[in-house]
Amino acid sequence: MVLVFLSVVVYSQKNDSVKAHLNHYTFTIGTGWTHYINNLEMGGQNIQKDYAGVSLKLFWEPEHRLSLGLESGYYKLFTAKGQLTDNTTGQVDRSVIPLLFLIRMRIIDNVHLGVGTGIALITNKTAGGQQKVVTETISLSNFELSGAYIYPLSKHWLLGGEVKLFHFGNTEDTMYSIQATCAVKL
Amino acid sequence: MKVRNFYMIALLMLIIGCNKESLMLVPSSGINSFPEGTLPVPPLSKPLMEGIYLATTNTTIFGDTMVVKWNHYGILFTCKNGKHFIMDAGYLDSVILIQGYWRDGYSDATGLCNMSISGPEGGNDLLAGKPSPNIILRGFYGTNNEAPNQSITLQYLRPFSKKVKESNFYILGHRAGGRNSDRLPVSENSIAMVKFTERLGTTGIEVDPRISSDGVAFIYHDPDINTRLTKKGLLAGDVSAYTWLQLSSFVNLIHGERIPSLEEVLTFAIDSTELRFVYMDMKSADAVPVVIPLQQRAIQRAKDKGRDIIILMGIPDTDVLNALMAYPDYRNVPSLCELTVDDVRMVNSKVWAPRWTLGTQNDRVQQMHNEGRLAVSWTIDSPNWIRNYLDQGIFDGLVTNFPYVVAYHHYIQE
Repeated sequence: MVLVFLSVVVYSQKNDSVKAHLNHYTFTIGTGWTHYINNLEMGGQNIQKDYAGVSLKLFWEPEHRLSLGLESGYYKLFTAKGQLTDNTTGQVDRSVIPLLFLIRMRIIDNVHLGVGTGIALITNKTAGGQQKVVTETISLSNFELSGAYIYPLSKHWLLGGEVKLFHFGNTEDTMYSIQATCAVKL
Repeated sequence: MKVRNFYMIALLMLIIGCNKESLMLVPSSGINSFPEGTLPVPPLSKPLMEGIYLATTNTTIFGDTMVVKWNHYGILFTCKNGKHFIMDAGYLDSVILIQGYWRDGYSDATGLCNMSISGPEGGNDLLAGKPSPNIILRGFYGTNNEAPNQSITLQYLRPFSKKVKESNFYILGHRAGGRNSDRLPVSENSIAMVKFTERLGTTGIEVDPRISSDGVAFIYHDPDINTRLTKKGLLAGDVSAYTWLQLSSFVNLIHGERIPSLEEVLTFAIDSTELRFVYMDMKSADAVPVVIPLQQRAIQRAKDKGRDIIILMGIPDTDVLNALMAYPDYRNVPSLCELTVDDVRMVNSKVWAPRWTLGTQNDRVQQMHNEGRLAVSWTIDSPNWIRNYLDQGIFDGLVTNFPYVVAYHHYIQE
């Protein structure tokens, strides 16, 4: 990972054409399509995997290329409904609220790559087998990879799009998301 | 651009390459099968085969001595260095055939094995129910799934010593007999493990009772549903938050078994094994009032069936201790206490079970013996410490993840 990161830095610096806007904060909201990568070994035959998700990010941009930030959001991973096993019907929903520390780097002009890690609150709602059960789990080993195109509309406003991949270690769930983003420089 | 693409592909391969480790380390194919007409070894012959054997070939791999011990389901050959053979046996004419696989408890090594005892080399005597001082096992072992092609020869050295035959030592398998991390072919805390564990040399088991939200006691080690213990499925989070129907419908253990109820485990241990000790290591104080009647029924069942088996409620902490003491007749609940000897006396535990890192504590163990109680230590895995505890300690049993190592050092004692 370090090798990849340093190589991209070197490559990017050679191709830099954007003027620096030093030391400011940016708040970003994003929303779009999410897709759960179904790796369930049991009960995964008939699940709904596509939902809308929302993300919130706050970045500190101390210099012209690297940004540090925090990201949260809400993502529904899947819903399983109907005949869940041979003899049981019901519904199971799993959703996640991540809280990740991000490092983002501008690669060329308006294109950014980011990596993140942190915690996530995973909520599982089960209605089946005669009782509704809600459990919440804190997942400690999670990561995110993201790529974004951010176009400056004005001095303060930016619009863009972002593709990102999340992995939540506790439940070994993986999902990706394609989102439209709107950012404001504070 | 090419350099960046290279690194991106490398990163992708790195992510894809991070798969789960292999679930089990036993040969996956080519397990031998006995020739048609093979009959089970007569019960009278089995104890005559047991004892200490000298390895006369490949001693660098398996060591120079092996312990051979029959169990309820097959025959175990166990070595000093953690390697062991999980075998089945039968006879055809005057030849005793022994087939199965070997594995190493401390590495990934495994392979197939087949051996035999010919009629003149002990088969005739053994099958006639007569002791034979000149038993020779000859055969071949392989590596991984390869056909056995390396020769192995074992020569009978001596029977178990009088000390071993007269001892009532318990070899207690952790988590119903074995952990998932040791990559056994069945899941920890499952009925399949209770069935399998005797093949590893155990004479008793430790299990981990919890309670479902609707009051059913089941065995499961961790507080949450996770992919270390279960196949990835629809449920997540606190395992005790779910009903028994939900757990038994939606959760499969890592090798596909259902989570068993405690009652199923106790019934299986009594009816279908020769295990002599069940240590219920309570994972929740809330489970105590549920487990007590199950324990009473199991003890009665064992008594009705004439089974020599101790079934004990474990007391690992003060929460469970207090929950037990809230029961009116708590001094008559058969228990195993991991706390102090004073706590043992207070609740009248039958067994004191200090953790192994506290040492052999022979003076306190002797006090327990003087009071008519047993003492076992947990959970001891290092071969050197196992040998030290057997040589220098006076415990009545050891809880371990490596029962074949304890078996070797126990049965080889003179």
